[in-house]
Amino acid sequence: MKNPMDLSNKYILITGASSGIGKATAIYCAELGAKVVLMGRNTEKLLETKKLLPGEDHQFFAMDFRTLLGNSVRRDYLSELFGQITAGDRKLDGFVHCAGIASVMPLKSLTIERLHEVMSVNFYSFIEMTRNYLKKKNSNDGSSIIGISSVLAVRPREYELAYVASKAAMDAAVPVIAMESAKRRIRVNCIAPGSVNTEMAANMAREYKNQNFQEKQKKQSIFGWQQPEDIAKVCAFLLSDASRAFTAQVLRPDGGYR
Amino acid sequence: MTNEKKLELLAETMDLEAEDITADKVLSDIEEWDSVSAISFIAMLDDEFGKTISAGDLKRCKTVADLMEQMEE
Ligand SMILES: NC(=O)c1ccc[n+]([C@@H]2O[C@H](COP(=O)([O-])OP(=O)(O)OC[C@H]3O[C@@H](n4cnc5c(N)ncnc54)[C@H](OP(=O)(O)O)[C@@H]3O)[C@@H](O)[C@H]2O)c1
Repeated sequence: MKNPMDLSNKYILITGASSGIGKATAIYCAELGAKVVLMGRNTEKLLETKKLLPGEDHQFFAMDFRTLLGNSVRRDYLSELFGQITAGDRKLDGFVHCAGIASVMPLKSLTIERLHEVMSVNFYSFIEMTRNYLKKKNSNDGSSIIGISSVLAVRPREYELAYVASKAAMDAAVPVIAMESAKRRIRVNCIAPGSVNTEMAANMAREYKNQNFQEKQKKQSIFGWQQPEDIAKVCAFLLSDASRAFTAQVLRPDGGYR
Repeated sequence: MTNEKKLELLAETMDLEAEDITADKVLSDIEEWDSVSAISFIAMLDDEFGKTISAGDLKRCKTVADLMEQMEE
């Protein structure tokens, strides 16, 4: 039987793979036959994800994206890292940027350092990783790049300036990258979830304590809260040949955000 | 900077494999040498050598060796 989302023999790089959406995506892709490269900060959590993956030959690399900022040594490190990932002429077929941090801070207390930190993890790292990915020696023609954005990029909430801006930046950058990669038929898209049951969401609920965050978010969307696996499936779709005609898009698996 | 390192940087700006670029190559014969890689070359000169190249000087570059000549501090 035909499986249009078959990922066997595909080699996929996933950041934020130690938790939440990235972890679920890594597992789902491996279940569809992909070999995955996991990235995240925490080595132990990466190892844990790796153990859950069916199949062999998966790898992981720990890196803190906050160290990218204004640090050319770390930038060289990234290009070396891609050298390791693609050792033995093995090119990537997909890249999913799930790494991200939330940030609740009123503008009056938002320091430039905090803004930089959020932009580094959510946006600059996406661009730096994509730039390296797009070198011909690192990726196959016809492959797929995915940035995990957020509904908040177009439906902002107060006190989340840094987060909202970082996701809006990603939404804005994706069509530009798509145009610049068109010659190689590399597809570049965003996925913008609504509320997804992950550690990030649990932390947000804690930050917004006493305000009934869980209940409020549930009412924001027709289907209420989504699960990480729901987003993982959309990632798999965008990584597979089933989505050949999709580029420069923002897909919205948000359960009908209102 | 060694010629080898220069060729490596040029391969990078044109997104070529290092073995696909040699000093004697004529730029107009390199498919990847277009207006976009010219911009990348200008940016690379600035980043690596702190140097600005004029449009006229760049136009006069006909071969990879000519580009390498520009790559001095
Ligand atoms: N959950 C939601 O409701 C929701 C909604 C819309 C969009 N999103 C987006 O979905 C993506 C995944 O979020 P999630 O909910 O799955 O969150 P999560 O469970 O908190 O996972 C975040 C991931 O990002 C990694 N990360 C954080 N800081 C990093 C840094 N400095 N350097 C490298 N990696 C870093 C984490 O690595 P470690 O575990 O190793 O620290 C972790 O793997 C994020 O971009 C988020 O903005 C989430």
